[in-house]
Amino acid sequence: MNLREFFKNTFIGIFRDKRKLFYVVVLLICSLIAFSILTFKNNFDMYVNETITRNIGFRTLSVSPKQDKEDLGLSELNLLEHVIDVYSFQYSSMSVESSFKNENIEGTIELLYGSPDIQPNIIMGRGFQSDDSNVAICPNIFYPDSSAYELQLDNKYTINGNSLLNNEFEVYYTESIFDTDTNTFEDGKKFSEKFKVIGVYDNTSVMNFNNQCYIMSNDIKKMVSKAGLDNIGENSYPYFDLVVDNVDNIEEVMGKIKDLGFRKVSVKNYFDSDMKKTIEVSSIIVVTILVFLTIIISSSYIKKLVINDSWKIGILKTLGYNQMKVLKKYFGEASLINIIIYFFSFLIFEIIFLFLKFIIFSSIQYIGINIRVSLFPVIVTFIIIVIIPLLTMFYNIYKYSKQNIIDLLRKSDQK
Amino acid sequence: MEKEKVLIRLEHITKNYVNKHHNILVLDNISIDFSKQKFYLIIGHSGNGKSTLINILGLIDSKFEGNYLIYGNEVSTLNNKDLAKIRMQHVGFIFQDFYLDPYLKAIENVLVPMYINENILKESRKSKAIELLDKVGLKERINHFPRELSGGEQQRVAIARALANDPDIILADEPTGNLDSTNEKMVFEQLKKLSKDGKCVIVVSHSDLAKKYADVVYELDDHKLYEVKK
Repeated sequence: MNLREFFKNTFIGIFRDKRKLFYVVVLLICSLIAFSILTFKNNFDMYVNETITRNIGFRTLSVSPKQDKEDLGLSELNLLEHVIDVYSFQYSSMSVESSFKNENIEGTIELLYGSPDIQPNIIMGRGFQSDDSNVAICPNIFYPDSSAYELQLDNKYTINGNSLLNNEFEVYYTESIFDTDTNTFEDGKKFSEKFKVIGVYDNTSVMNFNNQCYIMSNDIKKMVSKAGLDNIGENSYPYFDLVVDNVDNIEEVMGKIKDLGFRKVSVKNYFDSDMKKTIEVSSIIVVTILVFLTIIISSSYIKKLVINDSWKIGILKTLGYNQMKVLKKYFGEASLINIIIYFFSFLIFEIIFLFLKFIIFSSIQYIGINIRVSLFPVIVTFIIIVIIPLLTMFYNIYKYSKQNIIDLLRKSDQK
Repeated sequence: MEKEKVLIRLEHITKNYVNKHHNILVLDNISIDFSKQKFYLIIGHSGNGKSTLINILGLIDSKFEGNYLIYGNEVSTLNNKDLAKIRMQHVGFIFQDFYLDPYLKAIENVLVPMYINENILKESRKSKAIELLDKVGLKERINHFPRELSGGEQQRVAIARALANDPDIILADEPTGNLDSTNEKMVFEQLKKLSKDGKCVIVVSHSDLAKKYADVVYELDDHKLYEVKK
């Protein structure tokens, strides 16, 4: 039989034999479920492992100061192991206007506290060096407008971060003077600063907004002081931002801070690890059930098919098919059917996935969840849908093809 | 019988069935020759070993004592792979229950044995299958499934399938057991025609009609084979 005949006969067999058609449909559904669950689990794991560890907020602690100390306990905190930096909360960020303003965009940028140890992964250009000043690292899809906070970007006016490299922009801010008579803040002097863009980063992978640029710590401290924003006033609650070197060291550092007598310590961006564990365990359970279900369905179907068709094996042997040819025929057909199911289900899954990605998931990507299909679900689903059923088929066909012809033909008589 | 005309030679064939408690003798020291261009009929009471004999002749039962020669070559000691090859090249088997694949059309059933025969060119398979179905009077039914055919037509498809690789030996075990008298006659006529075309046709049957077509009639009685005068 040539390949064309083989393909044709296998396809015809699926549609003529309702049992095979049923098997194809059921396995297709199992395959789609496997792709979905495994892709979800994989993306969830990637989100937790990559985004969490990259986002500086997940390794930044908020620490309430020691009011009885002159430096509020700052020096004690700086001496702790795994602590990269400690600074007053006012310096963590500053919202300013910029030279990007035009008739279409406001020009509002949020400047973030940065340093060589506190910066995102750079995708173009370079990162901070210790002697840098008046330099900035901006998002690769840059949108200097306050609507970036609501994830509402007008794609016509986004700026390609790469085009900003080595170019300068100017920011404008105003001194804020607290009037003790009226208990209000009033505008004072106006200031401006120029910054040169030295690097570009992927803001979605670290869950930042499209208008958030990092500048050196000295620069932001200077600007905050000039603007009078570090005069916190009576009603503000002061705290320190403390940056840890690694997410894995958070618990240890928090423990040590509490041991030093600081009353309140919390992670700035809290990630619910219980929820993470629940999702992980649930998806492992579902995947395991799915694997067993698929094995049971495919094994019982294949076994039943082979038993019911064992007389056919007898006839083939009568016609001159030896054991190897019988194995080749059945195993070849089963391989083709299962591979077709796998690829077809993958195609359907991809279409649904892309549809969902662009219609529903597009907003999720702005908060750091980059949904994608990776190799892990592709390989595991292949094992579940193709390899395991084929091993079952091979075992059953091998067993029956060894039997003598008379016994095989008798099985038809017994039906 | 002249040696050059002998196709099958059985020498001292003995077959026992062994179960837990008994050793049951089925065939006792049978020696016989079968030639081409002859229609042999084997008769006898039910359960006396006719099917066993035809299974041995068809090489689908290789557990027996004695020698089995085809064209003077010993085949009883061959391994399974070689036995399959001999079956493909020399034997066409027709069963009482037809054993057609219900999901294949008539022509597709006939093509099945051709797929493993390297001597048949791929391009000529289909035309050969149509020719065989035409030979058994089913040219108009080549694209019908077995469920759409009568019993007689199904058996004729089975005959066409048995002829797919142009075997020298046609074995039929109760080929008309499930057929009415009209179809029975048609099937025996086909088998007679095959013997006239040069095949060695060996039929096991209870049918009285079969005796009319047979050139030689043997009776299996008391585990031995006896020629019956027509």
